[in-house]
Amino acid sequence: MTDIAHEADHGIRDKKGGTTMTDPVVSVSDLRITFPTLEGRITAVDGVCFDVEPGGALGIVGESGSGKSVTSLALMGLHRGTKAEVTGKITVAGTDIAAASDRRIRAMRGNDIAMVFQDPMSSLHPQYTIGNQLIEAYRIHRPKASVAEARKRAVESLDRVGIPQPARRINSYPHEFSGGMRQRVLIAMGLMCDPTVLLADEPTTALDVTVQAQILDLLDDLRRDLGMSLILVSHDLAVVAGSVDEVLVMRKGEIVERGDVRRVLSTPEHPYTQALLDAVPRVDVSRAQRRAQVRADRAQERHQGASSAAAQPTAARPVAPGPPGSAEEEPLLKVENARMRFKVRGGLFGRATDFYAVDDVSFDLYKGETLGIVGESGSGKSTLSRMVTRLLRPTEGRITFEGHDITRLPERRLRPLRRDIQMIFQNPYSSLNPRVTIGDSIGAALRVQGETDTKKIRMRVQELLERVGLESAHYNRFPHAFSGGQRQRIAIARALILRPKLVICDEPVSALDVSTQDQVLRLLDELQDDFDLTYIFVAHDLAVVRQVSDRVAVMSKGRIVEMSHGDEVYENPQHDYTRQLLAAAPVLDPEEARAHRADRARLRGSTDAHEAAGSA
Amino acid sequence: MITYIIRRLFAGVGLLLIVSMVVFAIFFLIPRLAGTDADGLAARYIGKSPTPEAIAAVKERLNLDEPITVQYGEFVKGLVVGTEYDSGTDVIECSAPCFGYSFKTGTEVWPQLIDRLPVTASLAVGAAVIWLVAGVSIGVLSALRRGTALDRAAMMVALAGVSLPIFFTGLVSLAVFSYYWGIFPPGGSFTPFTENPIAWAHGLVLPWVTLAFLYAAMYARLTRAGMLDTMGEDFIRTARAKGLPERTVIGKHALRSALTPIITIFGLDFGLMLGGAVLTESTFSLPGLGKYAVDAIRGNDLPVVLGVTMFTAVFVVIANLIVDLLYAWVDPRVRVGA
Repeated sequence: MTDIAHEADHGIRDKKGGTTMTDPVVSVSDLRITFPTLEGRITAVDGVCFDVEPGGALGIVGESGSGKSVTSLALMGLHRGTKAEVTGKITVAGTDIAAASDRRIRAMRGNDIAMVFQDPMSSLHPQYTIGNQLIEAYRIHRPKASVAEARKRAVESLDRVGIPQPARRINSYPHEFSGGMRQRVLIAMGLMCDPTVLLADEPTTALDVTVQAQILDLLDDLRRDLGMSLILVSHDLAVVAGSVDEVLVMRKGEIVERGDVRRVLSTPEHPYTQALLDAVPRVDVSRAQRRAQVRADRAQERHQGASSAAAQPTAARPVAPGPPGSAEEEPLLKVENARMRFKVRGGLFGRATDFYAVDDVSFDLYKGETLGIVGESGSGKSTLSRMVTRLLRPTEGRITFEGHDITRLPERRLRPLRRDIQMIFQNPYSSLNPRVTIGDSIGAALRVQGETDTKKIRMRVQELLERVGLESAHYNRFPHAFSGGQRQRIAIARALILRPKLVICDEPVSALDVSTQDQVLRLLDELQDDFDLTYIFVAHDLAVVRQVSDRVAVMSKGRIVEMSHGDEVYENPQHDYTRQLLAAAPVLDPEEARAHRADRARLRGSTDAHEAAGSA
Repeated sequence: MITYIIRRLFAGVGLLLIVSMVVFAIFFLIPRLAGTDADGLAARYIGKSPTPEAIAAVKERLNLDEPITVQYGEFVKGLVVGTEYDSGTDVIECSAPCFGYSFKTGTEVWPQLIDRLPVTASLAVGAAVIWLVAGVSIGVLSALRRGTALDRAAMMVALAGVSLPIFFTGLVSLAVFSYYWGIFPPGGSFTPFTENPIAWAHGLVLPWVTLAFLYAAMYARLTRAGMLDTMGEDFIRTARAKGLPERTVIGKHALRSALTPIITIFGLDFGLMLGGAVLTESTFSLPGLGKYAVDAIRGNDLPVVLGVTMFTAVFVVIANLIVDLLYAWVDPRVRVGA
């Protein structure tokens, strides 16, 4: 009944949005969403209002827990049937989400408003071909369409999002695509019914920079070509900067700031927005500038905290350690022509073909310096770091640590080396054993190395916990009690407990929110000063790498294509691939972002033929 | 896909070879290692109060004096092309596939197995249909109505089903439905399907339901757990966001994913059952493979026990092979890795 009455209210709905062209296609007023928990109701979204004009683009930015994803699910009516309680009014393309019948909501989903989800790996059904999943999305809203028509439509849609050979690839399963291609498939699925609004929830978070840029460019193109409205949800201001007109900053379920994207990014009114902006790693800020900033902040803190900070070990350290490659100093680590071969199985009797994940890589690393290794997934950067720690035994080449050849050391004789070379891993959620207290997790390394005095272990662990910004009382807690950033601090403590000389950070911040990222990077910087550490910093994010690295190596397809002093690589890139990466890096200034987009379009034009051959 | 099938076939044949070795070792090698001499071993094949002549004859027939490799060779040869048990004075023919010869009853094992297979197969197939349909649908319903009275009741009954042994539920059902109400015939009767399908089904209802009750309970719990996991997956949210009705979301997207692991366990269960549902057949006195094996064990008739074991192994391996292929068909990701 309510359904019919509601539709009558709005008169005859035309396909493209509301009753007239000036009405907003999405209108949210006083949205409030609460969830019941054991400790009472939690308010995830509190009094959120916004409108999206036809053809407009809105960015929703906030950290995890800010309520941005909960809001986007509410637009789709996906809280129905859950324990969430939604109040306030949401209208999407003329449909009142709260009042409409289930049937009406279903007719709206995918047809008026389509959603592109965050994780392309898990958001597609692994057991159906993508064609099946696309066709299904079309036929549910166009029951009269034949399978052949729907199929034709699916091929068009895949073609539109840039999937090469769509007519053939339509029969592939999701696992046969790369992450970026899967994200494209998800977008193609969203486009099947020409929706009025496309709602993209962190569509690029799991992707490499160049792929991220491609996806954002694609969304921008589609919006312009098809006249769709776009709602782009992200934790990263730099991601939305170049793609939306209006931006909305959320924190703890409330909107703290809202306005034209240029205005918000250039002159933010709310201190939280300012803090978020400051936290965004900038490709255009050099290592020296940032270190100076970090040290100044620190000195100020100490000054305010305790005036008795007489002897500061940091003061004596030069900003940039001895010129890399200087003859007088012997490198801490020397990698010569390292190669790593993997056998790829296939064929009737499992004939193996060779695949070199790391191919002829050489570099020297000096004490106290940070070498950044940038590359996209599959570039071999993680394999390289595992070779240096000797978690993998190189197929060819030589690795020398402190003058000793460690390339072929047997496992038994590696133990002293394990003390000197430590690793910090990417995913702080899965790299800590959930059933072991963090104190035991951190202390385990000491025990392995022969320490037996439990009191001593406890003391050292607690000391270190405080040093990395946690509390000594956290010793007996389990990992689930900590946030992502805190877990990464635990991982850092675990790596530092043995006082290593070389620490390899493999994407240490890529799973974290921007603001947390900034804190962890600062911590790593401070620890380098205090513990006299040498870092190899592996990451896909160019901006992050620039801020922490003295020298930068760019990896592609197992090889180092360019390596030199950090600022050199960023300000005067020599290799095409480096230039591509730099053009793809998201920037905060909307005008600059658009300029970059145009650059990319040009670069793509020239490399299109090459790419088509590569992805076929 | 073809490559995958061929590879699995090869693996299946290899596995059968290994199984035959293990079974053979259990019956012929381990007693030797434990200190039994050829005479002692031969005596086990004859029965009570063996005469020296009979022992010598069996020893000769089974080549027990020869090295173990020769004995195994004969055993495999018998399976493939048949063999002759030659005592020096007379010859017993055992045509291929020779699953052994019972010196106690004076019969070849293979024809006996084939004779009893229809009974066991009827029992297994009927019960499997019931337990799959009942178990999976109860599991799905339970998962979707999680925490409701229906879910609790279903899981309680399932717990009872898992914990109650067949000889208890079987005897109770016989007492109630057969002796007291007389709706179904008592145990011990089996009418072949080809003779009279109605009598066939009528006679098997009680064993089917009893056996299915146990398995349905296990499958309901498994399905429920699988469904609960799957319903939390991102691709389910994607399916809903497309505007699919809940019935398609569950029937097409969730079920396929949730049932994949069920297939694996079903293959094992079903293959094992074709080798004889020992408890059910004994409880209802059905003349199937399980009962044959039990009787043989009771009578210390080793060749029969060995034959049934080998026969069961073949079924389990075949069932596994089918499961592997089915799995690759249901889940395309399997084809790449394996």
